[in-house]
Amino acid sequence: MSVLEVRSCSIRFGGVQAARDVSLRAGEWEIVGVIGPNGAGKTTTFNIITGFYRPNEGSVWFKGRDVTGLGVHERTALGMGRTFQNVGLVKSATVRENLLTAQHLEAGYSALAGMVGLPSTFVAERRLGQRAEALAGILGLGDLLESRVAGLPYGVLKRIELAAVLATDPDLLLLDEPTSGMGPEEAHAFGATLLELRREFDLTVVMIEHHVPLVAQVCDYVYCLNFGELLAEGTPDQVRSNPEVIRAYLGQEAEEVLEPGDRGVPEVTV
Amino acid sequence: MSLEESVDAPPVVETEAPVAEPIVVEAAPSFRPGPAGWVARGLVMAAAAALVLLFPATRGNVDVHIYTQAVIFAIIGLSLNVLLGYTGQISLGHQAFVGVGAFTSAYMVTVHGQPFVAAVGMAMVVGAVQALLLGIVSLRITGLYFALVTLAYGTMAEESLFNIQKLTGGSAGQPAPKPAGFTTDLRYYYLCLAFLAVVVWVDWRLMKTKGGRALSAVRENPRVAATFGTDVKVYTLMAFVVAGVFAGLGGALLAHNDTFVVRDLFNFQLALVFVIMTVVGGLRNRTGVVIGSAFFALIGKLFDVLFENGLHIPGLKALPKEYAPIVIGPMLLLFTLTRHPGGVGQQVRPLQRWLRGGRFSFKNTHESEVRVSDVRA
Repeated sequence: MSVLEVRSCSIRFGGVQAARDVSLRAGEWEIVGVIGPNGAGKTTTFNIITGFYRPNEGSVWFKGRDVTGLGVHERTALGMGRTFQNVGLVKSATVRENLLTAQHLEAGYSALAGMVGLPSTFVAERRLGQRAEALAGILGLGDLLESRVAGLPYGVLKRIELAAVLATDPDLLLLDEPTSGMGPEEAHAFGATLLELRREFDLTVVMIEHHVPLVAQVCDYVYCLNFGELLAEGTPDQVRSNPEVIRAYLGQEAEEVLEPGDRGVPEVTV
Repeated sequence: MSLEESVDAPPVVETEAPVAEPIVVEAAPSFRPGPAGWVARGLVMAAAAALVLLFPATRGNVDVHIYTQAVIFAIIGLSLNVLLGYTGQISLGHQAFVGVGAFTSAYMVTVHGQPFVAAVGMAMVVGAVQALLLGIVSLRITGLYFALVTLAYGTMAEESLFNIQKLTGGSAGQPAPKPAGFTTDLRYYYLCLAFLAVVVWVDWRLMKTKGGRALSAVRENPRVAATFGTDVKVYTLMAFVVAGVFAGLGGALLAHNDTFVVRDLFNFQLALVFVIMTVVGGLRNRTGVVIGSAFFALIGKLFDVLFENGLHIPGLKALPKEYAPIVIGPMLLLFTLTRHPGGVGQQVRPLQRWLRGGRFSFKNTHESEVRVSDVRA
């Protein structure tokens, strides 16, 4: 059964067709990559999946259920977790507070009970705190728990964000450029971390990614978008050797550089 | 809203092994005060408690009446803090929130002969309902335009709601006797203090649990809040309801403190004082808001003591003490916004840190997480 299925979604903003007939699916335990040049509609697709945008046409199915009409927080409750390109954290709060905030749906008590100060909420808060510490430990953030998020380096923020999203107890992880700002070695290390996390937390992952070696390292399946449309799909090797994909990344001239019938297609390294 | 929600217990994180290279940060050596240090802290706390609990008992009724007003202003300040501080929505119509609470309680007691508890409860319910209505508006309109809506709501209430003869007693006002058992000014002072303690408790627990964290996330970044599973609309409305309940309570207590409510009290000038005292007190800082609000309630009295015969500036008429908050307020506001955005809360931070068992230092006191731009106006 596929965990996530996007069925021919289209969305327009005024005269701009941001996504046209985009379909993609992610099976259980799969890591699916979404690639494409800037402005290809990758983040738009993510926004459709997570519910920030309602598609004009098409539908989104999550765990066998049509979620097209649900709000963002309702999809989180069903088990969608998402990171943002520009880091989705509460910046003025500490790392610990962020990890607690992310456990909003795990708290097990109502906001009113918390406000009144029922004894059970104190117990629940302690449990949430322990879970936050455990998650921080797993991602190597134990020392930073009391640090304010604002002012920490970008790479660390990305890691905190990952911990926060894991705190929402997701089944599906949507990562928007998780390695932006990282060097090749860090990106490779992130790939290992991701595989480990998938095993540990039973995750299905869809990620927008630009590091092609990382995509090849971890992804089971890759979709390539261009100008809001699906350009190619397949295994990382298939997609990366697809001439359409190469043209989208390198422009029209790339085709002319290649000899007709040339099979030694250069690797896409955008 | 049910008190207990049945939610599946979250899975315990089983693994202990880190999957990513840990980031090691050298921690500063932790500081613990010695026995003498704890005694000193205890003495300061005891002195503060004595000032609040015992000092009013040594004063006359007229003074105690003003101290009670300070306690009630603290409740109103905490009400506005929920909107201004926690959600970043400004309310320039808080005099109407408080006024409706005051008249509701007076009306229940005087016209319907209800007991004090029922009257105050009704004032809180009515406060919640009117705040909820304004909250629904705030889902559509934010920032400066929302501020204008609240301003309009306040003046509209002055001209319409407060002119309902039955509710407010017209220009003659509505009597609001003190509750049985608390008929002296001093006893009523302690009653209000108890109410303030409850409000502080609720505010503290709110911010320590999921509701408050959700509000902070919604204020800073609604998209992130939603991604973390927060229903942005529901929590925005919740903040308004909490603020409305506090304001209704504050209004009811204010009415019975004066034993008589007149509609002229609840004018726009009062709404301005409420906003100024909350901001000068320090947004999102409970202690600061309480101190700031109490200060603005006492400012008239302070003025009296300092300038017994009125403030005479050559060439100017004597300044009546009623105008003191409106003159001193903006000056303090300007100082707060430009120098100490965290208000009194920021200034007392070294002391707070020390009382909690930390070292007394002015470290980090020049910066505050409160920004002038926090308020979406």
